[in-house]
Order: sequence, then C-alpha cells, then structure tokens
Amino acid sequence: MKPSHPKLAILCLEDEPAVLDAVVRDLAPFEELFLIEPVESVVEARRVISVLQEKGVPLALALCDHLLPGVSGTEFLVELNHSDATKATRKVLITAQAGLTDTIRAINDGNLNHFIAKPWQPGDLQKVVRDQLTSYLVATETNPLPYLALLDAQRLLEAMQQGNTTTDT
Amino acid sequence: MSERASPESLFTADALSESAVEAIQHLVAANPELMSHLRDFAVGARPIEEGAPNHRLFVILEGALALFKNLPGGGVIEVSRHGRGDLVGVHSFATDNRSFCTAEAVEPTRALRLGPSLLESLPTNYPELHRLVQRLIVANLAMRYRSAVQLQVQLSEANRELTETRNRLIHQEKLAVLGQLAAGVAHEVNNPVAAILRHSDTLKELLPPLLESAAPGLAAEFWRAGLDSPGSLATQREAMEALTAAYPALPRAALRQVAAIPPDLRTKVLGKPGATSVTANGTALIAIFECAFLLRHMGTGAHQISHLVKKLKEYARPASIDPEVVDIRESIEGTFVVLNPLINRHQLSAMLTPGLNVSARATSLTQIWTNLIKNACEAMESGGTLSVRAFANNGRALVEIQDTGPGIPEELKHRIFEVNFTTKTGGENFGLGLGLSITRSLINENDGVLELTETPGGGCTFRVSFPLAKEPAVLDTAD
Repeated sequence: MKPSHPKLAILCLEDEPAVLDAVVRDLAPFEELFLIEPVESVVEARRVISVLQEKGVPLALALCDHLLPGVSGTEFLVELNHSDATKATRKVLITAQAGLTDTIRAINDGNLNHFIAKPWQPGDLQKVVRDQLTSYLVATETNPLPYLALLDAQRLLEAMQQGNTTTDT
Repeated sequence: MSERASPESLFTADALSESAVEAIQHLVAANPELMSHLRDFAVGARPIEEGAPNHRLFVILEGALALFKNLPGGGVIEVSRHGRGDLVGVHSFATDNRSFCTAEAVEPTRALRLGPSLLESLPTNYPELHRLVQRLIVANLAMRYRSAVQLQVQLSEANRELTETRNRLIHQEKLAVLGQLAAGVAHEVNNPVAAILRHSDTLKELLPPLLESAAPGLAAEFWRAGLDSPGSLATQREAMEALTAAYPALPRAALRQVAAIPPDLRTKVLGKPGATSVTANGTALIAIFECAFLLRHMGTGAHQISHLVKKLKEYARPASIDPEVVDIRESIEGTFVVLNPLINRHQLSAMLTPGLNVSARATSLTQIWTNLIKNACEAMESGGTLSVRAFANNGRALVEIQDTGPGIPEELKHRIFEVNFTTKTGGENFGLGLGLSITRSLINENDGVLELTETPGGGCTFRVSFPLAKEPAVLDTAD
C-alpha cells in the first residue's frame, strides 16, 4: 500500500551531472518515503528549498559537494544552519576536495553531521543516509512508524520507548 | 704556503701612520742605540709565525708585511696587508696568546722591533715613543674592529646569495622528481583508460542486438535516446512533478528513470495516466535506455581522464633545454587544465588571442603562468575573478594576469621580487609555485619582461611580455 505524498525531503547538491546521477541512483530505496531533490547549484538549491517550504515539506537531509561554481557547499550548509527552517536538517558533505579550513568551518559553523570522501564505497552512502535520517526523526520527535522498515528500526523504537515521540497528527 | 687568496683589505697610510714613521725616524736619529732595534726583512721572511708565541711589536717604517691564516680545509688565505706606520703583532702581544696569523714580508721591509726589554724601558727612557706606541695600538685595534664589521656585512651578502641559489636548486630538483612521478602515473593511468574506452565501444556494438530481443521494434529507439545528451535538470524536475501527479500509483524511483527519457517515448513505457503499473515491456525499455545512458557517461568520464592525463604529461615533462616556438594561448590553456582545481573556486575570464608565437622554453612558460595564476588565486579568498588576457602589442606578445584581491600595498611593491619575501603565513598550498624572484629570472632568461601594473578598481595585475617570434608554432592538434 503506497503512502501518500512524502512528508520529508532529501536535497542532493552536486554540479557534476554524472556524479549527481550516481547519488540519486543510490538513493532509489528512499524514493518512496522521501522527496529526492537533485540540484546543481546553490542558487537552484535555495529555490527548491523555498518551494518545499511552501508545500510544507521539511528538509530532513542535505547531501552536498563542497566545490561548486559560485557559493561553496560548505557556505551553503552554514546558511542552512543559520536558518530556523533548516537548522534541524541533517548535513552531509560528499566531496573529493575540501581542505582543513573549509572542513573546520563546516563542522563549527555549519554543524556538519557527516563527511563522505569521494569516491564512496557502494553501500556506504546508503548506510550514512539511513543513519542520518534516523537521527533526524529522533531529534525532531517525528512519528517513526512509517519509516521502521526503511531506517534503523532499533534506534527508532528505543527513542519511542524513552517517550521521545509524539503521535502523528 | 700552497695557495694564497687575494687580500681582503689593504690598510692605507693615514696621517697617524705618517707622523708615526717620521717620529720614529727622528727618535732613532736622536738615539743611535735604538738602531739595534731596527730590523730588515727580505721578501718571504717571517717575523711572526702562526701558532707560535709572540712577545714583540713591529712598527713598519718601509715596505709591507702581509698576514696569512691557515684554512681548516687546507690552503692559506691572506687576511690583511700592512705598510708604512702600521703596527703588527698587537693581538698576540697584548693577549699573550700564540699568534693568530703568520706575518710575512711581501716587499723588502724595514721595521722597528719592540721586544719585551725595550718596551719595558719605554716609559722611562723614551716617553715620546711610549705615547706613540700606545696611540698606534689603539688605532690598530680600532681598525681591526672596523674591518671585522665590514667582513660581517660581506658575509651576510654572500650567505643571502648562497641561500637563493640553494633554494633554487632544491626547487628544481623537486620539480624534476615531481615531473618524473607525474609522467609515470600518467603513463600507468593511460593503459586502463584505453581499455575502458575500447571496451565501452565494444559494448555499444554488442548490446543492441541482444536488447532487441527484450523489446522487439522499440529497443533501437530507446538505445539511441539513451546515448543522446540528457535534458537539463530543470526539465527533468518539471517532468518528475508532472509524472508523479499523473501516475500517483507508480513507484517514484521508476518515475524518476522515466523523467530522463524523452517525452515522446514515455507513453510507450507508462501507458495512460493513472496506470498502476508500467506497460508490458516498459521495464525492459527503461533498462535499455539506462544501459545506453550509463555507457555514455562512462565514455565521457574516460575521455575526461584521458585529456587530463595528456595535459599533465605535457605540464610535467622534463625542463626544456632549448627554446622553441610556442603558441601562448596553447601554453596558457594547458596550464588551466592542470590548475583547474585551484582555479575553479573563482570566476575565470580568459581572453587569449590565438597565434601569438614566442620563442621560449615551453616548460619555463608553464612554470611562469603557474606561479602568477597561483598567486592571483591565493590573493582572493573564495569567489573573486581571475582574468587572463593575451594579446599582441607593438611586436610583442603581452600576457596580463589579474586578480580581484586586496592588491599589493605601495610600500611593499618593490620588495615582492626579493628572495624569501612572502606574506603567506600557512594554510593550504598546492606546492606548485615558485617565488616571484625565480619567476622573474625565468622570464628574463627567455627574453621577457615582468611588470606589476596599475589595477584600477583594486586587485593586482602582473604583465609579462615577450618579443613575437617570426616563425609559426608547431601546434599539437591530436587529442
């Protein structure tokens, strides 16, 4: 039984089309429950995020490359962290090239949750995504029931037992 | 003594020395017993030997004595030379040490020899001579001090030059090793890349007949569509929205794949709006499209690697020995490819006139562009614009490299070409650059000129110019 329109979104920000395609392919298992939004630049990303906000779909996870034309992925994550609407969004850098200064900025000012180095191992990306989405649900006290099969059921149930969840509205 | 270095300094006679000689001659004339204290030295005679104890002072009346020192590594160096009115033996005499140097007559020399007994009697018997000797001692020591300071300065200069040369040699050595490594890696990468490209092409021939059986009649269309360039991400997003609205029962992952397929082919896969599953051979057709799509991506990627490797090999080849006729635009564009990771943090504005030929060492040019571009990029944080222009003017080829950074302060403008001058205090470093002083050397060696020019609006512009060559360049068009 297919659920209604997804209630949470995942943003993929990457300017190399071949790599963006590969990321989206790896996210196929999450397509049913999460709205996957691939974008090639920060400008596009901002537009997509405001459309999501209009539709009332929170951004659960942002997967970003660092090296982009114009504004960098790190600066974008810092933006997300400073905006109330996206403060809780899980933030992941997938990148081949981010020096120490940029990484420190992403961690300290962007509240970076995870760092994946390119090229990533098959399965690694999905594992990280599963883990980060679980953390998002726990942190925002979202009803985890629809997501038990897809994400980390054990962690979600533990959080529920500790009274960290509310029922779905 | 097997070797002699040229004298570091020649102590010239001054007023004190002249009056000293006159006074002594006068005294000797008035006191004939002093004549027994005069000594004559033939050329080569040594009144003082290095390492031997010395209790005598010599005041030279005529001729010259030179001081020699043995060098630790063997050989001898001439330290100083002394003539009329100079005092020799002061150091060892005054400190009661063994003599620091050997004093040897380099001309026939006459000197007043002041031994211990004479010196002891000076205050009582010859008070004027006593006072004179004291003044000579002080003057001698003062002169030694001055010369020591001068030598410090010269030594410092020599050290500076030595450091610059050494740094340059180390750097060249590093570049040579790096070049060898890069060439080796490039070569090894080329083989697997060639295999990938070849096998991709083979797959493109082998697969279509096989796929035909999976979806007869339609396979070829979907295969060709997959090999074509995909639409923009924006159009795919719009398609995705339309498809999810029209086919709410279908899995989103499948709809995403369909969104990449050209609109006119989509109905063959999806059927009518509201369908709850894809058409009979819809799954197969999507898979066929995907196969072609992925092969296309693989081919593009392999070509990119191949191109980069080629440019890297050119960039990293051993230093050119001879000048050749080089097309400036080719040279700069080759550098862009290799420096791309550094450059693409900023906007690049490149206006390079083709056909600007200069006679220069190709690898030197590459190093010159690398250093100037690297400096420009490092002057700007993220963002900013790197402008590179190449054009002809008055029989010369001009290259201007400009950044939108903070520019160079007025007071530092003449210092930036100094060896070891830097304002970079650390952080990331690609390790490709040279100091500006070396860059300027490279430019000068290739008959070029480097200038820092005014940059209206802030930032910094370096201008390199070379005379245009008469002959055309040999262009490398194979890729």
